[in-house]
Amino acid sequence: MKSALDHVIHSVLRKDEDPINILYFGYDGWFESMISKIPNTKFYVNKDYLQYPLDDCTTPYNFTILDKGMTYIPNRIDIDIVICNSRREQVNHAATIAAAYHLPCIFIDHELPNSNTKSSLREYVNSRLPKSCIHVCTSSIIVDEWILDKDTIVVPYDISSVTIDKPKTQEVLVVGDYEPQDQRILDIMLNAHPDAKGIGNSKSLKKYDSYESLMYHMSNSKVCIMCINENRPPILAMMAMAAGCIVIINNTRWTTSIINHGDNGFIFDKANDIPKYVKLALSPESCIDTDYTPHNSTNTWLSLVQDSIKGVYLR
Amino acid sequence: MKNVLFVGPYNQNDGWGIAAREYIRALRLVDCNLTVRPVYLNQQDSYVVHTEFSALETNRLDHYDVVIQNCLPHQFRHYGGVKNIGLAYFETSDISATPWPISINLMDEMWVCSNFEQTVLANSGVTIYTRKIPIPVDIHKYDIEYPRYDLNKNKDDFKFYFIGEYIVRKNLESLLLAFHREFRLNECVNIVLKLNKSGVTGQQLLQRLQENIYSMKASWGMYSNHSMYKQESIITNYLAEDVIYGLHQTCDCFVTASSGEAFCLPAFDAMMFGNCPIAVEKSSISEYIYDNKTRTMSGMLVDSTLVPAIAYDRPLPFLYNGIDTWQNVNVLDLQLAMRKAFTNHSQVLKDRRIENTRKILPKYSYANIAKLMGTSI
Repeated sequence: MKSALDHVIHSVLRKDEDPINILYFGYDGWFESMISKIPNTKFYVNKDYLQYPLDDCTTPYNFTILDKGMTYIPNRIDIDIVICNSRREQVNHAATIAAAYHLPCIFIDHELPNSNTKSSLREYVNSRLPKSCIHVCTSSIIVDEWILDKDTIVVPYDISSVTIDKPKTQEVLVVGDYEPQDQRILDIMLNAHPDAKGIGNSKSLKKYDSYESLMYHMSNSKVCIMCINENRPPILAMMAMAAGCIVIINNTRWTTSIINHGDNGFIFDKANDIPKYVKLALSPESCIDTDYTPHNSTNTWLSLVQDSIKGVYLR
Repeated sequence: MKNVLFVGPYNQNDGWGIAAREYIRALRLVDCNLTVRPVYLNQQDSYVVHTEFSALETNRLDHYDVVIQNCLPHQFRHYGGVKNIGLAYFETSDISATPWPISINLMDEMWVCSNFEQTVLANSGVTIYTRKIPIPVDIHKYDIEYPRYDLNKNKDDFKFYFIGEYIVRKNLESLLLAFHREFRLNECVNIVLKLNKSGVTGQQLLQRLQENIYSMKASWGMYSNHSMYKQESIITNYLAEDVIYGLHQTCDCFVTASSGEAFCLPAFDAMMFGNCPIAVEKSSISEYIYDNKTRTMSGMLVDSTLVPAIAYDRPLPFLYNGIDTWQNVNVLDLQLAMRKAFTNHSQVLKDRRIENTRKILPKYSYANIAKLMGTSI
């Protein structure tokens, strides 16, 4: 079996052009879509932590699914780095392997911990993951909420894979997860414009099946309307902004930190104001700032992973 | 110029950590491009990041000619296209029943810090070339006057002392037995124990020690009342290196009953500070206490017997399991040596000892050890 010393020496002796082997804990399709495009990488994903079963069609070509319950690294694999998300059991497993083999570690999250368990999870992540672990988020508002004692890097949502250069043909996109009791506001949003299309998790909306298809719809739309849970960060809004949409969203403590009302989007307090803001957003005189640079995260991820591998492991 | 990678536990606070840092300081003087990387042999204990090595840690080269692996031998790996050097420490007299000889033979060369270890490896089936590279030291640190350590005891009392880990190999029971057999309550003499134990806090260790020493005294039965025994001074909290040196300068005679040592830096430091070290003759400590060239003795060596090595707190399953062997000190001989050190101590003798040790000190300088390393690299 390999030892910590083995991995430390391997990290120094390896060449930049050598393939990067990533032990990956967690699979929900969001980060993977961005990370799996890092060139020359191979991912080893523990079967225990798959969010949903993968088949030949849904497994990225560079992913290998490891057996259930595997707690050590087989001799045949020279793992270069461990990446895990914020699920407690995955943090625990990743931390155990990173510590035993002195592997660099990246902790990724684009969500926030549940408010009830936030402080205990933060403490757990801080104490379990090695000091040299890097915390990667998609936005500074996630960083500000986690406040981990790790180095932090913000890698925004990636839209390199979608057709951002094509003209936007969809006027209005309604997006999000809605419960039956949200039907009234959902109707207002869908009726705010004759060319409004809805995708998301609700009876009246069309489901999207992947991160990429969501980004495709967003990058094809001029205006994106959504109403989000007050206790959840506006992930969809950040993705829509990354895709060049004018976002119209309800007022929460999160949305005010990313949207300046009237400058780069609209924040509504009353659902009845939505049609007014849609009109403003689509008017030729609209002075909403949609001038943005599409972010291609592949290079950012590549340099982040390479720097981590070259870095010095601190327990 | 050769590119050298040193991987070792130099951030650790224990003896392995101190030795690794000293080896790196010497390696810096070798004509080579040096990269260093830390490993942590102990997953529980705290550690310190030594910023003096930061530049060496970030140094990254296209290829390496030499890889020095400073870790336990079963962790050694052979890497193709480089010279693989193993660096480890051996305290028992025989390792042939362990997996270590096989791992060591995978290396191109083995570095050890004493002749004792060279003999152990040769007798245990190690066939590769073993080179003696003693642990280097900062030879100037012995000329500095450090603040005295406040022991809350009578300052004029003669102070025996021991610095080390609280493990069976260090044979603390024999040391205390010798001390309490030899010295009575009315004599102006004390014993100071600076101890640490991996994975245990200072407070926990102090409590454990007090209980264990109480049990030892109860089992000896020298006195019906425990208050008739002299009281030991026990230090279990972490002390910085400078404070340890202050402890050396506060105390008079370093004494160890250890069953096996690869080098024993505290004994070496004690000797260089002019304190007469007492140790088992058949161990690596005798290699610097007695200088062959000048035929001078800078401490006292006591008799011992080779016995099976047995310990309840085995660091690894294949160590100290009754198959390997180590030395068991002759307690009566240790008593005699301690009495002699107590009776004959004087500033004149101490000054003479310091004068003698200064003659051998350059052998252990960074520059000299770098020369030895350079011949291998």
